[in-house]
Amino acid sequence: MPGSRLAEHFGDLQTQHHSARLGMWIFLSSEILLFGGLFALFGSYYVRYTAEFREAAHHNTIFWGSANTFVLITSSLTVALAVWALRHDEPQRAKRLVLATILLGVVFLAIKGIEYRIHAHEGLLPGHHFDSQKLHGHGAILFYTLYWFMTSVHALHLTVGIGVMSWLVLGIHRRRVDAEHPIALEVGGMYWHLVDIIWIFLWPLLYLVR
Amino acid sequence: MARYVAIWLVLLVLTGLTFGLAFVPTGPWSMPLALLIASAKSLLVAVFFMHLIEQGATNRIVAVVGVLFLALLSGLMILDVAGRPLSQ
Repeated sequence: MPGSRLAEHFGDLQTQHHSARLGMWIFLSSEILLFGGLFALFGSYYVRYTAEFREAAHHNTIFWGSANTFVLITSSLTVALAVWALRHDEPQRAKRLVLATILLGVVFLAIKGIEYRIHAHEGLLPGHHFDSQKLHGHGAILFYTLYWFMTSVHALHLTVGIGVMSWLVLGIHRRRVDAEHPIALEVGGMYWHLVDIIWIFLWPLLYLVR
Repeated sequence: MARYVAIWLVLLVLTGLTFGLAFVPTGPWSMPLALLIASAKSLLVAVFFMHLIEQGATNRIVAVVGVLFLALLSGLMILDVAGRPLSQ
């Protein structure tokens, strides 16, 4: 049913797909600026409280944070392979790869939950709730306030991504998304990759600068 | 398909490099080095996983402008704060 897939204001599917990709890039650019505010704040406080920020990052859960980097980068691979499989008319394979992506996303959130529990136990909480035995000073409080803010906004994005991927599994299953019309998986994948890129920057800032 | 797996392996190597550098005393270079590697990883993800390589100039311009705006806005803000006198 190519007729029903083509919106009436487009001449052909190729043009429609092109503008979907362009629209996604514009949306992702606005997303970059949303996180940009937080990155700018982090950078500003980092240059003011460099020693305290490094000390705070030193106390972060480096093992779990780094495990999550591996999980998210691998999930980006499964998305890219899913797009490849769908383009090559292998919908079953694409579906399995998208399901693997969802699973990796859930693993990421679970690990994030473990980390949050450890932080809560150690009193590394945002703002006035900060009550650590080991870390002191205004810089440490700012670091963990930003840590909670940045990672929770990121986790929220990932949760939305898991929702999008679940909807895409259904789409591939019902053949609404297939080799001729893979665009929904492509732009959904682009969103997933951006969430990965945000983490690629959050990881060294929050765990490794020590 | 092999290309995507190769990109994934490069990303893992760069991830390992970032992790290793965290335990080397690089002093003031630790932040710039970590950001440089993160930028390289992001470029690989954008160009290959997000298919920027096969898309037209319009999409590339939008992506580059987004990153440029981020660099400009946050960069100038951080420079401003860094340049202020330290008195509270």
